[in-house]
Amino acid sequence: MVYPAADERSVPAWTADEAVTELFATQYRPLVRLASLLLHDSGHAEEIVQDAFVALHERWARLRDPEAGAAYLRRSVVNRCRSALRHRGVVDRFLRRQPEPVNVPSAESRAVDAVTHGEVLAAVRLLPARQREALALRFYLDLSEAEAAKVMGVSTGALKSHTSRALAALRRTMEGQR
Amino acid sequence: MTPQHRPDDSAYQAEQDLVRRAFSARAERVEVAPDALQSIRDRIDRRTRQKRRVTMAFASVATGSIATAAAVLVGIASCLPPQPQPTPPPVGSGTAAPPPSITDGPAPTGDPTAGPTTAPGTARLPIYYLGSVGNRTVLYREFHSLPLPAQTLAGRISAAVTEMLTGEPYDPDYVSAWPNSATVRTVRIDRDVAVVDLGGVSTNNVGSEVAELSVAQLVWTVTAVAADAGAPVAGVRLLVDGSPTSQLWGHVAVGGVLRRGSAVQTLAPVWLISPQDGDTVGRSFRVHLDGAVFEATAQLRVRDAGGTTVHEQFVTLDAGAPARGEAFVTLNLPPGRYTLEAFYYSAEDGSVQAVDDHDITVR
Repeated sequence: MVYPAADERSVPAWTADEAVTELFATQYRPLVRLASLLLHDSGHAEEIVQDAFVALHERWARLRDPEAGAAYLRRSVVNRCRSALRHRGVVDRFLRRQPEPVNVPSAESRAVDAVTHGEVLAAVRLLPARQREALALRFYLDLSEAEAAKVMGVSTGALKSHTSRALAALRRTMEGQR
Repeated sequence: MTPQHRPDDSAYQAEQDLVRRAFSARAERVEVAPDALQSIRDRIDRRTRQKRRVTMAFASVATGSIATAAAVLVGIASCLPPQPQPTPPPVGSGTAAPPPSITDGPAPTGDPTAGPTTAPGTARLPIYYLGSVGNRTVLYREFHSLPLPAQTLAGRISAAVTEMLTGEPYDPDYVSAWPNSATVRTVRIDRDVAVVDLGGVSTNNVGSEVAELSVAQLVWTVTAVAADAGAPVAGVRLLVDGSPTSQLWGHVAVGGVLRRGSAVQTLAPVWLISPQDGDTVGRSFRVHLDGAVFEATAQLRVRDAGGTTVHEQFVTLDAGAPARGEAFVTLNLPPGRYTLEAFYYSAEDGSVQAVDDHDITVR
């Protein structure tokens, strides 16, 4: 006699452990990079992203689906970066005075680009935190305006205004340097 | 140019592209630690263990006292005085069994906290445990998330059986009565039979009922893992220290292919499948019950931390005894600690039967 496979009837979505493993594969590296753009500090960036994954594990029962998990991680990382920066005001002010290290390009054709990138990133450092977040979410993670607004916990209108003010400020800074 | 000047669209686009390229160049220089996933898992494990210690203390069962619990169960099940196990080694994360070998994968580790590994992921695997209902010994089942030594059926079975032998059930009412020295030597799949070679199991101080149920525990665990993985096996061939054996512990015939026995005889009448013992859930959560009960009617009761019943309802399973049915119920509870109890009322005298209870936290 074959018994109903009680064990096989309910196939749950990911467990908390599986959610961590799966989301780690797709989200960890981009989130560490996002955090290091927001913080200018990749060591601390990893710590913050790992904190977010531990919190995700605890909260998984409420999140349940991969999209919600990824969104939670982004929000968690941005918030944690924000408070890390607040607690690090002095260090941050020091960092802002340091020039962005410029990539040494291996090919001649990339030299101009690398210098420009350094200028852009130096200018990004001088932006207020919200404007920097808006730029990183829109142009590094490539989130839509609505998604980026959600991660930052602001309206889409506010997100648009942070973004355009940030771009205007970059333009001014870079024109001032030329 | 005034600061308010808005460039035309193409200039605006070029500006965004420049920011994009700068971000991407900077981000590419940031590499992540190779053992990051393991660090995260270690931190989660530490947190989980801290929480479990609280739960276990609450249940007044010391962490790692499987042997003691087993001895007590043996006493209940065989109506003999409990017999102490011969000097059980401490069961804990530091004393994982030596890794079994797997014919089709790298050497596994039974210990998820054993530092960086190349374990190809984890899986949620069904593990059966012994529990008692009245004076009967029956099987309950939990799902444990375990690192896999290999992404193969043999790897899954090896992980599950190792956990069954050396891990701890979440529910302190459940036990595994295999000797503490038990280890998985190898697992291989031979057509539709799982061949499981165990070491350190030749002697065990248990009565015949617990001995039979322990072998059933192995068979149900192995066959459940296989069915769960979409590759069902017909049964299990047990080897002890590499050789076939006809009987175990003076009680159980284990020659040939071992198959699942009758579910009604073997399994607990009511299972509270989820939440599992020690779980933390949100205010609104789903309870999963399974059982073989008269007229498909089981009971679900919730007690608060003080033991007061805060909710009770009947639950109609989708099949009645002798078949097993299941049901899902959504509960809404304010944050706090609770005990969920699944059971049935005796058709004869209305007494509470076969309680499966899990302590949970609602956040």
